[in-house]
Amino acid sequence: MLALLSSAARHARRRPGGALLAILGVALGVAVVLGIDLANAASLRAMELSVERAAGRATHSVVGSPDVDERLLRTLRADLGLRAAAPVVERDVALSPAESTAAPAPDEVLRLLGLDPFCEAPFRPYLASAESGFAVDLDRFLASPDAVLLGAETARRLGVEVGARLDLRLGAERRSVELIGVLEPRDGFDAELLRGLMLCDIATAQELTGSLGRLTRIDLVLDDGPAGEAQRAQVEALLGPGERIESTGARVGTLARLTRGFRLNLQALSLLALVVGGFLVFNALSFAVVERREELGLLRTLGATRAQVSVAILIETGLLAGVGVVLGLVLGTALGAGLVHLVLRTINDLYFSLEVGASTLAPGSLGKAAVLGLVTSMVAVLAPLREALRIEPHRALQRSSLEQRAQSRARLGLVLGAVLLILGAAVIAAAGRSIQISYAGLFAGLVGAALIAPRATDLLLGLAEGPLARLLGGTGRMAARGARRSLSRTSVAVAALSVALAASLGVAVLVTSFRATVVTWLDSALVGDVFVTSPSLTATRTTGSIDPSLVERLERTPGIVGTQTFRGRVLQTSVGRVQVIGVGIDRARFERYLFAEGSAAIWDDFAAGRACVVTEPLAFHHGLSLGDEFEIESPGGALTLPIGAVTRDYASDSGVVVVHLELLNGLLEDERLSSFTFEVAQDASVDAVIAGLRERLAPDEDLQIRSNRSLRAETLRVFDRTFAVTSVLRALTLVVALVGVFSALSALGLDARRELATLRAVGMTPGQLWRTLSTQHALLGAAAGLYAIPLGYALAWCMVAVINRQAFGWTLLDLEPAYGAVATAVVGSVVVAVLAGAWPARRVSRSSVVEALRDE
Amino acid sequence: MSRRSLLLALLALSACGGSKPSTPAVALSDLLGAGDTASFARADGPRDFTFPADHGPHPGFRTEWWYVTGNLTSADGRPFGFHLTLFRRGLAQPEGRASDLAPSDLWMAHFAIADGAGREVHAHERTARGAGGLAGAAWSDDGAGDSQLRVWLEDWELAFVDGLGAGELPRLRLVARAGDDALELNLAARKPAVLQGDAGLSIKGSAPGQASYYYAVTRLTASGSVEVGGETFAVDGSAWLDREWSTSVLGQGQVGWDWFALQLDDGTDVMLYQMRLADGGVDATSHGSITEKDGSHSKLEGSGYTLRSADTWHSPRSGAPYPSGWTAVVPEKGLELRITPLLPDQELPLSVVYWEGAVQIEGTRAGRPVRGVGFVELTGYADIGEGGAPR
Repeated sequence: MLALLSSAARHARRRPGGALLAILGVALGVAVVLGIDLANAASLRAMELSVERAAGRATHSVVGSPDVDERLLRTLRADLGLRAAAPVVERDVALSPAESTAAPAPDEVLRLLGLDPFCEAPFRPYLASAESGFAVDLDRFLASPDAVLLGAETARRLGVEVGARLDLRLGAERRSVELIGVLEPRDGFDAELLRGLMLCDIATAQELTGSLGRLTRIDLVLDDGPAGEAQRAQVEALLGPGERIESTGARVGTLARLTRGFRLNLQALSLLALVVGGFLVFNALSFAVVERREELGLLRTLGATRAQVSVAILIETGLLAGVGVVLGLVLGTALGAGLVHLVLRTINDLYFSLEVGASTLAPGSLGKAAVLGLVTSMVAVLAPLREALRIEPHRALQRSSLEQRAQSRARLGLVLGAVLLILGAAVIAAAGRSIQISYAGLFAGLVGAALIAPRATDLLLGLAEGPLARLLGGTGRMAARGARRSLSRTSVAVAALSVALAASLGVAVLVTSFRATVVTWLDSALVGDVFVTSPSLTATRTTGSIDPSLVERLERTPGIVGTQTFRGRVLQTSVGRVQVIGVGIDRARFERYLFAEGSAAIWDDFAAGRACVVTEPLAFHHGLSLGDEFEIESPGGALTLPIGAVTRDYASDSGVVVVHLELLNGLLEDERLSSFTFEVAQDASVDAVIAGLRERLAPDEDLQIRSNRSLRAETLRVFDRTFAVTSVLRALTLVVALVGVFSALSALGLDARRELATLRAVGMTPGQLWRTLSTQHALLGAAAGLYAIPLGYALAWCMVAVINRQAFGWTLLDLEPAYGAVATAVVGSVVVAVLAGAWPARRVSRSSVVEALRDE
Repeated sequence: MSRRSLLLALLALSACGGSKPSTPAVALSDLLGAGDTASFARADGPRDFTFPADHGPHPGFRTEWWYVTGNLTSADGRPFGFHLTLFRRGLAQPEGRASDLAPSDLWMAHFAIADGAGREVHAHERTARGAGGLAGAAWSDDGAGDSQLRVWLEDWELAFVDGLGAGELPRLRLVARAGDDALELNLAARKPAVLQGDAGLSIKGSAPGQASYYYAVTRLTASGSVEVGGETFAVDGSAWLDREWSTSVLGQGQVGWDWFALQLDDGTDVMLYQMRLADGGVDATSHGSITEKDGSHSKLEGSGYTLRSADTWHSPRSGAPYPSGWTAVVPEKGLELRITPLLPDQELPLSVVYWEGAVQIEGTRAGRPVRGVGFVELTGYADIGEGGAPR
C-alpha cells in the first residue's frame, strides 16, 4: 500500500503539471461557486438599497376627503401596534420676498411637509442625510411653533441662511417662520427629492396650515401577501367617514417585484455556478486518472490488487481535492470580495459602498462549495477508475481501448444530454408557480446542454473543416481533424467551457434586460416631464378629484408641448373588482405602450371606446386573452368590451384595465381627473415650466407638482450603481470560464506531446507545429464559444420570460442583445485557447524528438 | 443617583437615521449637561413626598423616569431578567400652542428580556412625542372615585392600577410587546416606597442643584408571562421600581455609574451605586441604602461599602470593557455578597449603549448564608470618551 502511495507521490513529482492542473481545476470549481455567491449577495444588497432609495417605503396611505383625523395615528400605532405608520401634513406655501427687497420678485412656491421625526424611521430616508446627520436642534424643531428646515440647495437658491426669517403666504394668511437648519443631500437623487421642500414638525404644519386635529394622510408600510391583506382589513375597520386606505401604487410595488425577480435570477445563477464548478472539478480529476491508465495497468501487472489500487487512487484524489478545496475557498472569497470592492471604489456614495461591501455570504455557501469540490472529485475518479480496473491489465496499456470507450461515452452523453434537455424543458413548462421545480428543470436542462456540447462542437468543427482546408491548406485540415479527435479527451472541458461562457453571457443579457426594464418602468411610473396631482393622493392612479378645466388653463404655460390625463376607479368587472384607468392620451403615446399581445393598430377602436386594454398580470391571473369579452359595471350601467391588446405593466401586481378617459367619464357620469402630466419641450427648462404653472394657480388651488424629468434621471443613476455591482458577476463567470479553458487545454497539450513529437519526427518544422496546435486550440475555443451563444440566450430567456413570469405573472422586457458580452465571450475563449496551446507546443518544438517518443 | 438620565437629545438622529452606517454613540455627559435647563425646576432642597401623587409625572422637571427591573423564573426553572423603562424629557415649551400634537415632552422607552437559557438579550427601543396620546403619563378616573395612573409609550405601558390609597401598597400592570418578544406582568409592592439619599433628595455632585428626587419600591412580586422569540412562558419572580426626577445631574468630570439593586432571600433589599470620575476615582457623593424585610431602611454613605469587580467582559459589538462579576461588602451591616451576571452579555445596543442586566447573588449576612437576585446597570463604558473613541 505504502509502495503504491509512494508511486503516486513519485508520479506527482515527475509530472507536477498534472497534479497542479488537477488542484487548479478543483480550486476553480469551488471558487466559482463561492465567488458567485459573494457577488450575488453584494448585488442583491445593492438592488435593495437602490429600491429603498428610489421608492421610499410607504406601501399604503390612509387618505380622507379632504383629510384624516389625527387620532387615527394613535389608534394605529398604539392599539393596532402598527409600527410603520407616519403622519403627514402637506400643503403648498408661497414664500413672499422679504419686505426690504427693492424689486418685487414673483412668489416662490414651496411644498410644506410636516412630519413626526419619531415615526419617520421606515419612510423618506432622504431626510436623514448621511453627511450631516439630522444636525438640527431637535428641541427647537419640535417645540418652537415657527421652526422650519430646507434642503441645502433650496436654501442656497433662495439666498437664505440658518437663522433667517421667512414670510409665508398660505391662502389669505401670512405667517413668519424661522429657518433653523438645512439638510445636506447625500447625492443628486436626494437633492431631487428635497428640492422645493420646506420641512417642519407635524404640529407646526398643523398650526401653519390651520388644519388642527387633521392630517393630510398617514403613510403605512404593510407586509406582503396575506399578512398584508389582514393588516389592511384591520386598518380599514378603524377608518372614519370619508377615510380610505390606498395603495401607493406604482413605485413601491413594482420595485418590490423587481427586487424579487432579481433575487430569483441570482439564485438561478448560483445554481449555474454549481453546474460550472462541478464540470470544472470533474474534468480536472477524471482527466488525472485517465492520464494514468497505463500506470495503473502496470501496477496491476506487478501484482497490486484492485482494492489496493482503488484505495491508493482515492487517497491521492482526496489529498488533491482537499488542497484544491482550500485553495478554492480562499480564491473564491478573494475574487468575489476583491472584485466587489474594486467596483465599489468607483461609486461615490459612502453609505452604499459600506452597506454593499459589508454584505456577507449565506451561511451555507462555504459548506456548499467545499462539499461540491470533494464529492464531485470522488465521483469524477470513480468512473474512470472502475473502467481502468475492470479491463485486463495488459489491455489497459493500450491506447486504442481508451478511444473506443471515449466514443461510446460520447454517444451515451449525447443521448443522456438530449433526454435531460427535453426533461428539463418539460419540467419548467409544467412547474406552474413552484420556483423550486422550475429550478430543478433548469438544472437538468443545463446539464443536458452541457452533455450535448461535445457533439455540438464536433459538428461545428466538421463544418469548419472544408473552409479551413481551403484557407490554410493542410495545416487547417489537420487542425480541424485534430481538434475533433481530441474531443474524446476534451469533451468535459468543452462542456464546462460552454456552460461557463453561457453563464457569463446569460448574466450580461440578464443585467442589460433588467436595466432596460428599469428604464421602461421609470417611463411608465414617472410619466411625462411634469406630473401634477391632488396633494392627498400620493399614488399615480387614484380616484379623481381634479376639475378638467384646470388642465386647459395650465397647458397654455409656455414650454408645454403635450398633455396626458388620467382617472382611476375601482369597479366591479367580470373578473371581480379591478382598477379601471381612463387615459386621455394621443395616438403617439398609445403607440409607446409595451404590447405583449396585440398592437397599437387597435387605437381607433380604443379611442372610440370600442375596445379595452388589459395589463399582463391581469391577463395572466384570470386567463384573459385577445378578443375575450370584458364586462365593467358602473353607476352608468354595465358595459361589455372586447380585449384589444395586452400590455406589459410594472405598476400593479393584480393588474388593471385601461380604457379611454371619455369612456370612463361616461360610465361614471361626470368629468374628473386623478392626475395629469405635461411633456416639456426638450430645450425648455422643466423648472421654469413648473414656476409658470404655479403662477397660473389660484391661492386655494392646492396641487402637487413634481418634475419627473430630473427625477427619472436621478433614479436611473441610483440603479446604475446596482448594475455596476453586477458587473462583478459577469467578470467572475468570464474569468472562471477562461481560466477553465486554459487549464483544460494545457492538460490536453501536455497529453498530446507524443503526438506532436511524431509530427516533428515526420518532418514538421516547429513553426508549422505551433501553427497547427494553435489553430486546433483556437477552433476548440471558437466552437465552445459559439455553442455558448444560444445556450446563454436560452438561459437568460428561461429565467426572464419563463420562471419570472410563472412566479410573478410578468415578464421583463424583450431580451437585450448584449453584443459586447457575446464578442468578449467568443474572442476571449479563442485567445485563451491559443495561449493554452502555446506552452506545450513550445516545449515540444524545443525538446528532442527522440526523448518525447521514448515511451513508445 | 444620576442613574438613567435622558438620552433623548439625539432621538431624531436615531429615529431618522436608523439605517445609517455610523451613528455615533451618544455621549452621556454631553446629554446630561446639554440643552435649555433654565426654565425647569431643580432638585435643590428637601421636599415632602406624597403618594400616590408622586408616582405620577413632575412636568416642572426636565428629566424623569419610571424604571422597572426584575428577575423571573418559568415553571420549569428557566430564568429571565427583564427591564422596562419609560423616560420623559421635558421640552422648554412656549405657551399656547394650538396643535394637540405639539409636544411638551419627549419619551423614550427601553424594553429588554434576558433569556437565561437562550443566552441572549432581546432589547428594543421606542421613541415618541408626548402628545396626541402617543406617549405620556396621566391620571385617569374610573368614575367610582378610584384613580389610576398610566405611563405609556404607544403599546408599552406601566399602569398603577390599584392600592393607591393612603397606607396601601401599589399594584401595577406592565405590558410591552416588540415583534416576537413580549412581557405581561402583574406587580404587587411588598414594601412601601423607600426615599433614597436624604429623605428622597439624592445629591449627585458638588454643584448646587446637581441632584435628583429619588424613591424606589425595592420589592414587588411579579407574575405573568414572558414571550421570547415567539415562545411563551408563565413566570413568577420579583421586581424593583425606581422613580427619579431631576433637571441637572451629571457634573464635570463624571463619566458614568455602576448601579446595583439587590434582593436577598432573607427579605433584605440593597441599593448601591458608584458615580465614576474621569480620573478613575469615585465621586464622594455616591451612596446606597438598605431596606429590611419589615420595610425599615437606612442610608449607606459611599464610605460605608466597597464594590470590587472580579473580571472584565469585552463587548464584541461596542468593544467596550465592562466589569463583570463583583464582590460587595457592607461592613456595618455584616454583608458580603458575590454578584454574578445571569449572562455576561447584557449590553443593550440601543441609541445609548449600556449594560443593564440580571444578576445572581450568593454571600453571607452576619455570617449566615444568603442568596438572591438583582439588577446591575453600567453606564459610560461605551460612550464616546474624552479622547473621542468611536463606538
